[in-house]
Amino acid sequence: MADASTVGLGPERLARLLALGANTPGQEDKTTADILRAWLASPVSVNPAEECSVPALLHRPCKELEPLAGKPLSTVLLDPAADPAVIVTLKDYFKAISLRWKGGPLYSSAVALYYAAIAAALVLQGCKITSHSYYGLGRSLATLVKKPWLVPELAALFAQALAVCVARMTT
Amino acid sequence: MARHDRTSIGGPKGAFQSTHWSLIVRARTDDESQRREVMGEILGRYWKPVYCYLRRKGYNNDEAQDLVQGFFEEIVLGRNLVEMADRTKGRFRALLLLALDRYTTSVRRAQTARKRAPGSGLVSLDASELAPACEPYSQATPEQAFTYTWAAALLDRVLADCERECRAAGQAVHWEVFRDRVIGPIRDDAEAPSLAALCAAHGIPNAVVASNMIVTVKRRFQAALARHVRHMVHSQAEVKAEIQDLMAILSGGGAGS
Repeated sequence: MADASTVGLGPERLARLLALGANTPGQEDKTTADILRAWLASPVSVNPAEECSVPALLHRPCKELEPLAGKPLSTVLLDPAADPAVIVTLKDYFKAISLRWKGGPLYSSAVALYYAAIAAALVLQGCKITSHSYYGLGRSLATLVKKPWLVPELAALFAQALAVCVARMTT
Repeated sequence: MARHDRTSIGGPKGAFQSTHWSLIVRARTDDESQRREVMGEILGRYWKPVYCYLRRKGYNNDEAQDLVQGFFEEIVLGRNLVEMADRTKGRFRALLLLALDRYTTSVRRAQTARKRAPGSGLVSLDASELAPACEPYSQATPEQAFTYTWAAALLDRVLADCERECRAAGQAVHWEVFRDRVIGPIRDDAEAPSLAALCAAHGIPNAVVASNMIVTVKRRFQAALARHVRHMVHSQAEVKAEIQDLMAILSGGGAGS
């Protein structure tokens, strides 16, 4: 192994390395936030030959995603002009991703992105693409909005979607 | 001063499953080959922080190495440390630091450097790489240097185990992604490469797969850390507290005990 020893590193960096192994709630939150940001910044994977790509997990070609190849997920999700079929596909994709893990940062971030697709459709396109009731959806969004690992752009989206749910419940 | 055999200072090979206390008891044997083997194991785990402490106390390289040998032979393997442990039930790190502080005090009072006992079967050390690594701690107190080096040596063993386990499990790429994305940026105080860049560099299909790899290796890291810390405390229940205590000391810049 060519990696350098950590002897000689300052205490702050040693603490950060040690914190990786501490598995504290704060550390897991940070990991979840890191994964969320990474997914939002990464292109949607549309190659059926790739492991964990959208077509691979949904077991169908997903032609509707092909024009979006290479675009970061955040751009696709938060585009008011996005094809609603694309947002539905992304919703289904992240639901499938979340089912692969029983918990932990990967599960939490996949669930957040599942709700992000639902919230984006509700807020940006005026469509409800889920069978959840407005009440149930509102409760889930209210819970997610309080998560310390939720990145700001999704927090804002969820807050708007929550307002829509509340409005729809009272009309 | 001539140095004889080199000792392989690195992580434990897994042959010693028992806690450090059993290790120390095993070293107190008349069987020279077993004594030498166990002494090498003990020194391998604990000599770096002791050495850095002694350097910060003002001893030069040769003096510090001799004192390390003397400390482990006379104090760690002697009756004193085990008796102290029986009385205090404290953590091994704290106990070692306390015993080391008392040892250096007694050495200063005697005003002579303890020498290696000729023919004692002790293992020689090679601090040629460690001496420059202690330089960043030149402004730290001896106790801080001890704790910082203690934590660093622990991390080195954990990272070595983690990498070895990953490679043995056919997860070399998993390790490299974790190293490049998580460990390297902290160690080098640099920006982490993007997942997209890592995927391209390592031939990983997409960010989801890369994220999964990182989480997998992180769990190995956590398990390896718990395993190593378990050697230093009296019970499994104390593992988490020991890690948090170390983190608090490192975060506060204090020395702790």
